[in-house]
Amino acid sequence: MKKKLAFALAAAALGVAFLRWSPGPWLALLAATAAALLFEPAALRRAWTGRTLVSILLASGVTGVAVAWSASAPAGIRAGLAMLLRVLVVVVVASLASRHVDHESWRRALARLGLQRVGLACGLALNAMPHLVEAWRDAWIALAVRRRRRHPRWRDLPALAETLLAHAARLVDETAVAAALRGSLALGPRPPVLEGCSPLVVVLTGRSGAGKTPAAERLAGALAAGGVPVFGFLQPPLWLDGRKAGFDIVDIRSGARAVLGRRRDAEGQHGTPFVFHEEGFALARKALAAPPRDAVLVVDEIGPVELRGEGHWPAVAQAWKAARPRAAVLTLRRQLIPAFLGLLGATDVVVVDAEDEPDAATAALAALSPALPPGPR
Amino acid sequence: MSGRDARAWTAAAVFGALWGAAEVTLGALLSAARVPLGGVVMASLGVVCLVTARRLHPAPGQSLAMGAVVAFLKVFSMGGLLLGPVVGILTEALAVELAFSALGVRLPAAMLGGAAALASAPAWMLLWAALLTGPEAVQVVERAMRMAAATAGWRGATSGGLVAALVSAVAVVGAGVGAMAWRLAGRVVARVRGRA
Repeated sequence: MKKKLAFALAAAALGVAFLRWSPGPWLALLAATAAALLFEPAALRRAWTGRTLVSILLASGVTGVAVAWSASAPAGIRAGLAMLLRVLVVVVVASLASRHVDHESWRRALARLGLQRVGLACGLALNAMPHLVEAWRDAWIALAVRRRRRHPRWRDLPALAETLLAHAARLVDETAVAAALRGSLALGPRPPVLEGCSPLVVVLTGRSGAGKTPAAERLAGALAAGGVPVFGFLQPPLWLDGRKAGFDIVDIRSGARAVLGRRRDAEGQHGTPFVFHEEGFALARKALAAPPRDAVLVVDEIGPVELRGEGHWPAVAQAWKAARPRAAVLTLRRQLIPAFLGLLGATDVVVVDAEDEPDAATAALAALSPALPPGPR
Repeated sequence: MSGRDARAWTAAAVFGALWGAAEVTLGALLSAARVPLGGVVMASLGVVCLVTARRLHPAPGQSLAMGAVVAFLKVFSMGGLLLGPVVGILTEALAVELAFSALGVRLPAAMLGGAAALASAPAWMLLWAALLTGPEAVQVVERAMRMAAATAGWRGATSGGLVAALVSAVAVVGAGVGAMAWRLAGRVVARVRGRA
């Protein structure tokens, strides 16, 4: 309450000080002094130091003399005095603001205005600042060593600026990719959470190459062989010299196959090293369209692109809402599980880790059994 | 700002951090040492950061978000929050935002944004001085400026004309800074993505 009153008085002082009304500056000084005494009396001592007062008196005196010389002595006195009072008010209000408007009040104000993302960007900037200062120092030293001088020349500054800006640009990409890989939805656009009753979800997880896709394939085969309708898609990877060179899409129902992604490091899309092909997305849409009733949905794999509402997400969301599957099997990276389960509104979840389970397909089938119809499987 | 991914926001944050670091170190130093045209130097650095971020990851509202980030970082400046520089930073960001919104992410927008951003510094300074000293002092300064202009051979000059001349001169420098920033941003894009 006291703080609010002090800030209201300080704001009123700033407003009244600049009115074209002769008592205005006096009233403003009164309000500013009251604000400081109410909130922090030390602000007056800090603001009106001897050096500051001498400077203000000199500036006001010069202004007064100039106006007196140009118009009349009383006009000069009035002008000099008004300026003196206005500057005293500004100095006190600035002193109060400098001490009490901190980063926390800034963040609160942004949140109150509905600008939480700007608040997050501010936090990110605060963390990035020391790193950038360090990068600037390193670039400076590297250039000095290369030039064999203690300090680089002035004409080297554009090259230094380019280096630092390129470093910042790479940091932008790395930060965005790191946020996406951790399933952070705070700074990116997020698709709406899928409302309604969620089916049983079995998550197949594990690092790249742990056998998630073969497990999903074996599981889909076992379900189909047991008479349980299955729909969805698999994304078998292509390996070249121990590196993932791309991946295809396979429609579980028809067995149709199409190219989805191929590695093109420099031209990668969506923050990945892969270029995506529309025919792959089209086949995935087809695999998820017109699903059978009471089927098991298999989606192998969805990732950061889908977390932003892109890639396969619209088709998966449509199938989730329209088909009402009896259960769903999703292959996900471990760090994305909470984000996806939140997005799907899933509550009944079993996680099968392909790295820990010797037979992940059998473990997933066992996890699915409460949702499957009785009978031979 | 509703980019396809978080890059527009992370660009606002990281390039804002770069500009903010310059403001709290070099800006504070120039201000404390009362270096002439220190404001123009800092505004130029701001334009370089604003233009580079916009050219790398164009998204409406990004420049304004970056202005808010730098204003936030200014809280950590020596001597705490300084109202004048914060208003100046937000005005520069708004000028660049309006230029890119109106003309698209192109060289003319960078030049217009640079001109408006740099011209805003002396415009604010003059407005602030006029408010502090009062109308009588402004009249005296006007008269003195007209006399000085007449002595220099510019007869019939009005105070508005003189202020416009000063602001325009800074704006021309700003347009040059905007063009240079655009070129530098192009080189950064080429370096990061392997093409211009």
